[in-house]
Amino acid sequence: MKARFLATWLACYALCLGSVAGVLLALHEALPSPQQQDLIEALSSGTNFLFWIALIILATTGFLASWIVDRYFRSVRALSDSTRLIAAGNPSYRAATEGPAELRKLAESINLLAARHEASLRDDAERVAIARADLEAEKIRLATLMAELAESVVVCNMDGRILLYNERARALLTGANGGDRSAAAVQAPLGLGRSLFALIDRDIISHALDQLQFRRSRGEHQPVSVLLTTIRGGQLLRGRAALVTGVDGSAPHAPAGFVLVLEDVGQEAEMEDRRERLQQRVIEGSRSALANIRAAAENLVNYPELDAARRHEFTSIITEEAEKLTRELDDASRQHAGGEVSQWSPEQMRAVDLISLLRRRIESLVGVPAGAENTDATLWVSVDSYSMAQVVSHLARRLKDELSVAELRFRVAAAGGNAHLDLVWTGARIPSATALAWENEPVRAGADSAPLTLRNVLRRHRAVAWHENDRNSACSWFRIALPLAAPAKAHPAGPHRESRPVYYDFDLFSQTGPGTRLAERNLKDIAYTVFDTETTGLEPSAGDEIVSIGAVRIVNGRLLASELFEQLVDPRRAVPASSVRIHGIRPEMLEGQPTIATALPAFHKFCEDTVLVGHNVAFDMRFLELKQAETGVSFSGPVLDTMLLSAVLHRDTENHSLEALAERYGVDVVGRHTAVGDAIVTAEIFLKMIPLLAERGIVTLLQARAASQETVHARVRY
Amino acid sequence: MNKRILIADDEPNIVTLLEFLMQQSGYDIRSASNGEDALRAVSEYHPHLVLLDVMMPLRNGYEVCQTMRESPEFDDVKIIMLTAKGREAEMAKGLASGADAYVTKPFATKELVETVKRLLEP
Repeated sequence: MKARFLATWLACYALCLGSVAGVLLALHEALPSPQQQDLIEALSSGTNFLFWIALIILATTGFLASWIVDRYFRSVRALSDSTRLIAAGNPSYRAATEGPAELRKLAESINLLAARHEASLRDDAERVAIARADLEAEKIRLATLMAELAESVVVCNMDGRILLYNERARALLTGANGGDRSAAAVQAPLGLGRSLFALIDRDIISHALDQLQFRRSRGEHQPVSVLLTTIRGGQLLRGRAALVTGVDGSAPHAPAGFVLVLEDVGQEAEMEDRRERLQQRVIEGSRSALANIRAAAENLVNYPELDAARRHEFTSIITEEAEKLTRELDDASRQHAGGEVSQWSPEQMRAVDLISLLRRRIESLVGVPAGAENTDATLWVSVDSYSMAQVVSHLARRLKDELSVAELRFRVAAAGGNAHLDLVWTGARIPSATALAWENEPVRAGADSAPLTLRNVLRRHRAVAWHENDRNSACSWFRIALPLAAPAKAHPAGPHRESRPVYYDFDLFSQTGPGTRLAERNLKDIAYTVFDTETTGLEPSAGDEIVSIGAVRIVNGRLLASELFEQLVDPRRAVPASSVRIHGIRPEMLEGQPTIATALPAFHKFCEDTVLVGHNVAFDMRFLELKQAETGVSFSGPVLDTMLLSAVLHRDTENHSLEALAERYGVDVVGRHTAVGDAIVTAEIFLKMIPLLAERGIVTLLQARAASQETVHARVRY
Repeated sequence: MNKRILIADDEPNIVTLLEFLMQQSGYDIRSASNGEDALRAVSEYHPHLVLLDVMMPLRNGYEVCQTMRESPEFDDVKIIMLTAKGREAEMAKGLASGADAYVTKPFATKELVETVKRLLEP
């Protein structure tokens, strides 16, 4: 503005000076030479007078320049800002009709155009609303159906972002019973656009997806993969995963996402385990008792010349063992009556498929080439391929590290009711103590899952393992005897491969994944947490504290009003009456609320993988920063400030308060000065800003942050 | 001189019965009630044959068997696994651990005595 003003001034000044000089020159030329001499003399003697003239011209032109800049340039720019706002953000906004007559006329024309534009938008909106209503009805039908399903269903894109889930899935995965908000808040939440991997181990899902893609690449129709996982301190879940393909028709065979149907099988598995142990105990107990009875009886028959003491000893053994056997059987039948038939079982797969999976795993994870020999394609086994691959890879890693085994081979053969799966290497056998240690080593000890050991996995599969060697061929092998299973039923090919339900419009399927660097991602595609805090005062460094945190999420350009974060915080200090007048949170409302040490980590979880947005956010960030040491959580990700973005968009406006912005963008203000109310208003304003920023070429997060930095307000410090 | 047999089982009744049977067949007997004892007895007593239970405290029969087979000193000691574990895979594991015979309980006394004789007097 200053530069423009200066330029105008200089131009006016030069023009005036030039005109005066021109008049004098013309006068000089027109006069006969004696008078010319007089004119020069007159001018030379009146330098003082000339100086004053020049000064007056300077002042007049300065005034003129400021008038022109003020009246024309500023008004034209304000008009331009208004027009952009109408075009991209708030069609009911009208340009101010002020300034010179021409500009007033222009403003009126713009407003006329705006009125037409608004009307036509309204018509469009009505037509869209009608079309959308049908779509909504379908969606509601789907939602109702999902809600009534007995299974927990989660739909994700290939990056694990959740784009649909039902209430049962939420209850199962987060263990929330709905009642206790503050306790549930610390658990990683389930929400649209959030990552499923915060709840279920990424490896297990990736494994299942790899399996599905592999099976599909072999021509299997709509394969379903079974996975087992433990969550939240050991609860065992079984999931069935299937790929969702070709949503947009753009790449019809590339998977766009997956559906996961989950059920809690912890109880079933435990029951199965108990039953299995009971059965083993009964069988082994009976065998032992019978062995003693039979041997004693045979001794009595075969050696009739026994002395009385011996006879008595053997008959006592018979009585004692028979009694023991009776007790054992009574006990077992009593326990067995309580059990039901279990449906718990892992996936049935061809042994050769298991081997090819194990080979791929070992080659990629351990870096040892693994071949296959003597594979019998008719054998089927019942196996949880993820855990089996984990423990077998672990064995391979041990062989590589400790025995420098450079090459492995698999083979499989039937032996009675088992498939003998061998992991073969060339070289010596390993000492039995070492093998025993490997059997009990934890392969993976996740925070939530029970440690996975070969022994655990074997027991789960009712398998037995040992190792052998063949001196002639100098080969050794680990042998895993897996019970043979019946072949899996092939899924009948569905007739409607091309047809899709009409309620398929999950935009998240096509969203760019986190593969793109966050800074370069389009502002429209980023997930945001828009938040606000209420505090005891304005000076965090002087002991002011947070009393309330409110936040909403924006995912895929939509404000998710159903996924709120709202938490009152006990500040552990007095709340001054002056601040109560602003936020209305009275000290008694804060009694029994969590302190910042609990509330902030919960908020941090809520914000996971999103960009923070706030109005005058530097203020809130300062409070969060000061709590970093106490709470152990840091908010170090990128942050956007609607106040700064407003300064970027409306350079000539001084007022960038939340109220002014709400009015400018036509956003209804509800619950001003509650944290969550302000967060919602800020979020709506921010959504309106995104297209306006795009018009100015600010499209990515990086650009938005750079533009914010440039504005004067960026230097404000609290 | 009589051949020596070690009976390793943690259950006293079966030990009594096996002792009687083996004495009747003319063998010298020593017994052990857990895996550690069994291994100690093997190196002290130098039996010609071990009747080995699988489910024993401290070290199980598979381990005892493997440990014996790893030491060339006991290469010619015969091992009969005598156990209530009757699944195919367990039997395969027992033989792979180095046992010469795997007898599942309950067994016929005559057959057991014959198996012992066959292993000791080829």
